[in-house]
Amino acid sequence: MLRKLAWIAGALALCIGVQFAAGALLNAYLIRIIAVCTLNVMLAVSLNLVNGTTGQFSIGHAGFLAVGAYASAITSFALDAKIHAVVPAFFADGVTLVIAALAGVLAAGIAGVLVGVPSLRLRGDYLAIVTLGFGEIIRISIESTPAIGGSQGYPLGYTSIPGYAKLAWILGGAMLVVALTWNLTYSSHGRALAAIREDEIAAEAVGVDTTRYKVLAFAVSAMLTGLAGALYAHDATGGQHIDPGAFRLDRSVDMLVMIIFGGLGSITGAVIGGLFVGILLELLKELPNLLGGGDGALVRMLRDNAGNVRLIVYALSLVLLMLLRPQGLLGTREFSLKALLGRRKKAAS
Amino acid sequence: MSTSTAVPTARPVPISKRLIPLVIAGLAVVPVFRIVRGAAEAPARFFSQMFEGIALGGVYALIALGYTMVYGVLGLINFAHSDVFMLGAFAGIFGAALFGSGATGVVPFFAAMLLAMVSCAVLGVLIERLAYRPVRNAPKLTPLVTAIGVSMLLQNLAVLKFGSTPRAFPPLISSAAVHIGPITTNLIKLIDLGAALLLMVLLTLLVQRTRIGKAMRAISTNADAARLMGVHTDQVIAMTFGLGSLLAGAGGILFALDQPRVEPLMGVQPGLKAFVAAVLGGIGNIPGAMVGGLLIGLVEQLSAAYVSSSFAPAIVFSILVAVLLLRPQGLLGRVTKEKV
Repeated sequence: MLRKLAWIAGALALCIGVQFAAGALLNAYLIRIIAVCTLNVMLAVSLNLVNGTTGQFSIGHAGFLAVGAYASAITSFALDAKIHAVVPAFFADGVTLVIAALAGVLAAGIAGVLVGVPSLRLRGDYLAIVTLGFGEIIRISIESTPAIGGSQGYPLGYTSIPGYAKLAWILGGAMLVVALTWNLTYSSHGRALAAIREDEIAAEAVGVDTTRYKVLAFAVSAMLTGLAGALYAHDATGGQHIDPGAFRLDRSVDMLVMIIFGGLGSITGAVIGGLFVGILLELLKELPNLLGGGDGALVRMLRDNAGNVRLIVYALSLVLLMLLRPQGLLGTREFSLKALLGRRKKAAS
Repeated sequence: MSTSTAVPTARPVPISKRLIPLVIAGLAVVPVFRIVRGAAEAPARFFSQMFEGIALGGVYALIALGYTMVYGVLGLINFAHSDVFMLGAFAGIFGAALFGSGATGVVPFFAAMLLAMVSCAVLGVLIERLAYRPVRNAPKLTPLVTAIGVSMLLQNLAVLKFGSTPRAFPPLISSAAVHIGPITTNLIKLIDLGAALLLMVLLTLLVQRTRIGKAMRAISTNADAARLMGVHTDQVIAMTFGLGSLLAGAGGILFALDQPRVEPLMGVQPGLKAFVAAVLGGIGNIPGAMVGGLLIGLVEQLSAAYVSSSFAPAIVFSILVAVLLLRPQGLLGRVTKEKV
């Protein structure tokens, strides 16, 4: 118990510390990159629960992200003034954010169950295509609902979503997601999920309630993705505006790429994959500058088509990674302090 | 005759499974009602819409065949297929341009078609050789991610080469209205449907009546056994990619004739719908892809005309989800018993 409290206190201190340190030391651009990468980590870790740990295959998580983002944004928009009227000013932003995030989590969780229950009859690629279908249905529904901005995005007009999710909140959210999935994955429930991944029929034969656990995995993963969506919508460094174009199939594919980069089934891998993809995409933005100023034909071509070349390099590195190291960077290994120390000791003796 | 008491009782059907058909029927009421009402009010318009839907479906079917054939031999969702389709449309522009700008008529049309089909076939074989063959025996997810990577690569290379502003596809065929009985349509749709049906018949003959078709079916049934029987699997798989890409190239031209905006991302939505069509018909099953394609085209056209044009794609995906929930193996797919 004491250890748990210490962990929580440490995490809180870290969040607040990073917030102040970042404010003092880093410029807005770097803070933005940190926020984007942290959100990536949340997405990767929550998707990993379904695709990695349980061995189901979802390419529709952008839909859950959209549900979380929209539900939370609408909630905070509706309640912002009311909460600020009641709660002391110092806490009001945080309280609004927490309530909005809870709304996002709840809505995404409901969506997750709605997708999870009917998906139980399907396996492999069929499940993948149904999740893809659900993701597209969610996005198209948002796009054709003028009340929440349609394809223009939310909110309409010159207003924006309040940017309450400062870096500390996003970091805290990511730590929460990692802690929750870690505890779930390495509990008896987690072993049931892994059993489903390894062999569904065998799992059922030894008494794992596969139906329940698959819905559980979907629901928890959707809720965590919804949390990421809420923080994404309220991200102080972001656009503070959400539009359905951000929740296309590419978004789900990006999440998939992150967990595969890191190594499917490993939480550490998902974290690293999220960071890696975020940093890689940022670095590639700077590609022309990194190659030195110059004015050669190549550099000029790169500069003129920076956004495009970035995605070409991204795609190429994806294909090359698959050809050279198909198990991802980490495989299924996890980071472990003990193993690290143990190996050191062995090396020393 | 009295039965013994030890008959094991069947597992009760869970409530969720019994509810699924009811929920689906409930959701379908309004759109179906609107379509029926629209049909009753203006039958001629309804028949024209149906015809256009089937013509669009023919194009989807051509793309869907590529997905389903590759899935049949490799068990791989070839995400890059929709981009091959897009490059087919671009190849068509260049093919038609060989006859000078502003050329119209049958000859440039066939030139565009031929160039698109040949270049797509070559591209398909190249993609298979460079990206998929090295990972063929890796775990299933690896080739899938490779396919996603190839798709992104093709899209962005196309942006780099052709720019992202849409180009107009040359009006090779007149789009003047044509009347057939109660149906009002145009020559483009007629050609779309005719060419799609012709290619489907040719493909069916190829798969059912030739040695290479037999080899494809053999690999699809059991790749290892086929190899043991002396089938050159590498060649046949390359051939399958070539054939599927060829059909996608033809589909690209037919699609671009009807909707003449050619741009690097034009393949994404039709590709997605064609893939849905392939799954709907039972992925890996060639007649299934044809039926699925026609069905998807029809559903999309009718829901755009009578329900809501912005919501039509969502209805397409809803049909997919509904069909898979009722028949998880797709319309024509075979049930594979899972062995322990």
